[in-house]
Amino acid sequence: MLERRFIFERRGQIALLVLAAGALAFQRLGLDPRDLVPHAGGAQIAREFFGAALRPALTFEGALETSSGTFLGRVALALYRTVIFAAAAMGLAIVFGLGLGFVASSSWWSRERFGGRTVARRLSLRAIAMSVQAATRLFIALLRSVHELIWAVLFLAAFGLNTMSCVLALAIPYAGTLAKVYSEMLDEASDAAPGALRDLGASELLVFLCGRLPRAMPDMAAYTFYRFECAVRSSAVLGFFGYPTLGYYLKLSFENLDYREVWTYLYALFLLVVVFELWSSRLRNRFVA
Amino acid sequence: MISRRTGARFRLSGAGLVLGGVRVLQGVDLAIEPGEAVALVGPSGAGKTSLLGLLNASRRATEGVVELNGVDLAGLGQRALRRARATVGFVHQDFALVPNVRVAQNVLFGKLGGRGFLQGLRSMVAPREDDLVRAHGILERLGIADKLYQRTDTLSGGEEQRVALGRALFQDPVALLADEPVASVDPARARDLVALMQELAREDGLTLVVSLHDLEIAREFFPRLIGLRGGRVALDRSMGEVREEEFAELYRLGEAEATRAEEPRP
Amino acid sequence: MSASHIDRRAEVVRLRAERPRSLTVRFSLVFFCALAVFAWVSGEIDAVDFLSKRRRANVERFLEQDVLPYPLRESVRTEGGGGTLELLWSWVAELWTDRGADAFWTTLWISTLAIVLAGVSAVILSAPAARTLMRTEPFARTPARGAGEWPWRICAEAVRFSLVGLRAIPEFVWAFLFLALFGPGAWPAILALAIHNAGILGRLNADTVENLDGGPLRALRSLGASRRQVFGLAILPLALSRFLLYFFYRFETCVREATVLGMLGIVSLGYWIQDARARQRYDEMVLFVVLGALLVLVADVLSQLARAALRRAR
Repeated sequence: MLERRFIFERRGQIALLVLAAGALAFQRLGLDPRDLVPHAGGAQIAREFFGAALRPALTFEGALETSSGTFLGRVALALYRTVIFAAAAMGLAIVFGLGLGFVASSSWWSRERFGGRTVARRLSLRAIAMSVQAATRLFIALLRSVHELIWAVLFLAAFGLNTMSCVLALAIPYAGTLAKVYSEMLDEASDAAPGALRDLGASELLVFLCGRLPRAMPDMAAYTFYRFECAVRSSAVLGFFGYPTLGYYLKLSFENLDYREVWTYLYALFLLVVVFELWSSRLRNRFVA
Repeated sequence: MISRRTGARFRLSGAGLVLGGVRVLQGVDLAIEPGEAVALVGPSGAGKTSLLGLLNASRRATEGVVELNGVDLAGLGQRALRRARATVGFVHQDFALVPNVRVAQNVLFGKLGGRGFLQGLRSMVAPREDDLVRAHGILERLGIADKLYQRTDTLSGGEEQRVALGRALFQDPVALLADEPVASVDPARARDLVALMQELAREDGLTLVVSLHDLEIAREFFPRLIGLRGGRVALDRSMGEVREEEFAELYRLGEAEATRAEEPRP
Repeated sequence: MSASHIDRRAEVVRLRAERPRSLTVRFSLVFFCALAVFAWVSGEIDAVDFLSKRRRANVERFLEQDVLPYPLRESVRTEGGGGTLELLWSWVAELWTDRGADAFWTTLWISTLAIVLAGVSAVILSAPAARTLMRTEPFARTPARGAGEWPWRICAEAVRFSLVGLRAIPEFVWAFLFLALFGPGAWPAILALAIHNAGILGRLNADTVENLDGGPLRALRSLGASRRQVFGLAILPLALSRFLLYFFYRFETCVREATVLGMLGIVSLGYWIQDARARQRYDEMVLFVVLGALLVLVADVLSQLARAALRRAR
């Protein structure tokens, strides 16, 4: 009984459609599962690479290593820079995300907010507000639709290698994503409180800041925290393009075949994410309680 | 406390309101004098909340005249309208508090309409001590002074209602409006609450307008009764003059409403 | 009056000192604000150099010459200007038929297959990662506390831990590693995306299972259903909408990432972006970037439509 209902329901159909799409993709890409068996050289690399997993490096592996300092010091520096770039980018992204998110939300213009004395004036003000909102949403979509690594490549072409461009490359799409989610959260925080503050004569900006923002704040904070974790990962990857973050050193070690060093970097990144995970779950409990 | 000012005078003539294409009030003629205490009764959908909205200047009458202390609200610009709203305290039926800030902030929000932007913002981020002391005094009158720094959503329903009342009083209003304050607390507390509002309004010399379901309480506490039906004033008398059959008629309306509430919404 | 006023002041101070507050929230807030400020003054970020004359000259050259589509640049130089639009159009059309279309579809198919693989594995993984299911008596109101509980609990926590591991490593790093193992082709990208997203979806799905109402599941269990039957007959139908919501939400991100993975040498849009950059054909590069943005917008709309349909179906 249960199965039959489940197949005929909408979500069952969607699930089947999804599986079919997967099969179609497999066919269109002309994939061969046999390619998943690593080629001769690959098998060798795989053995060595995974063999190194349980023995991450604690000192420099390469015999030719001439740089000063210890290996763990370098790992720490790489992690430090990764976090620093992510934090700087998130700082920018939060500021712009809040601004854009406010304009893109419906909370500041809907209903009889505009105090024109005539109906015509009220309507035209509302039309302007709606088009401002639509334009902002489009702008946010554009910011988001270009991946941070592509922004990085664009900036590399335009500016050359510069750490500020790395931060900007991260900040732009993240500002877009934050703005989108913030605006949705602000709109969903539908509550009687903003109306009451309006009824006691507060201006629209104060209604927003005191009535609506605090309500949406816990959700926004939790999401921002999650995005910070993503930003750390992205910041690490930006190293592959020559910025001095974790990815840079990871790539270097991999290309020098120092697999044990690669694993140390991977474990370091993993640890960082675990710390974030534990922290955010603790914060979430606080917010809910 | 000595009353510092006289309460608000409301005057409505031929006032009507259309909301979303639906006529919710029409031809309302009313005069409420400073310091009066008025109960507003009638079945739901009769326009009680809308009428309170007109008195609070949060809604503009679509026709007719609404005057607050002799000023025609229709002629006011947005800024002046906000100033008018700031002088009228309004306790919403669902309290309409910000749930995840402290009680002190919710009470201090009462002055958001009366002060500038930065002052208003400050009341949320870093409240002035004088304001906190005043808020404490108000909460003490309401019997919940020790809740000043609690998070609002940790309070009970009755306590939240008092915070909403505190916010209205913090406005330094000339009138106090309350929308169905009795509906959200249990019957035993309802009497205490109405008595409290009466007392506060008398002490501060506020004009008090309360919409009520409960005719018994209206009869017991309010010297004047305004009955609404279908968006019109059906009855406007001092309590002593209301005849028994008129009460019966109002009761009947209340029962009709109770059965109608059973029907599912379209 | 004044005496009571002072009392009240003291009382407010006392209440304030005793107010309930959360150190975690406070500390996190201060820490992250300080971190963001420190990041800017740490000297790691070279904002001054970024605004230097040399960089500005770079940008000007980039915007005024490099980015201008090739036919436009030609017509600007020859001052002819006639038929520029057609030239531009044929330039776009040529790039589209030559490389763009192929890469566009490859990107879409790679991300589709990857997200389907991730989705299916996440549904399977959600069972052993759900702590309410991994007990000697699943979904019991009061979990038993015997020695027999330990293997189940350890298993669930281990699965959850490895899910964190899967998602802690970015897709790009996975793809980079797989490329060395499997050689060029679509597989490294697909596996990288599938693994990372399986980590994310697996955790979200497991949380969904844990949050299900235990009543019907207990009832089925008391009828003698095995764990597997409970999962297939009750959990899956109950949680499927949620699973799919998360699935479509990740689909959009997957398309974004698939575009980028091309930069490692897999023939998605990113490959041509990287290729154009290497050949310093920045006009082509920007065209492919725009194409990638369009693809992401399409995926965004698709994902929103699917999620809206799901919400209506529920």
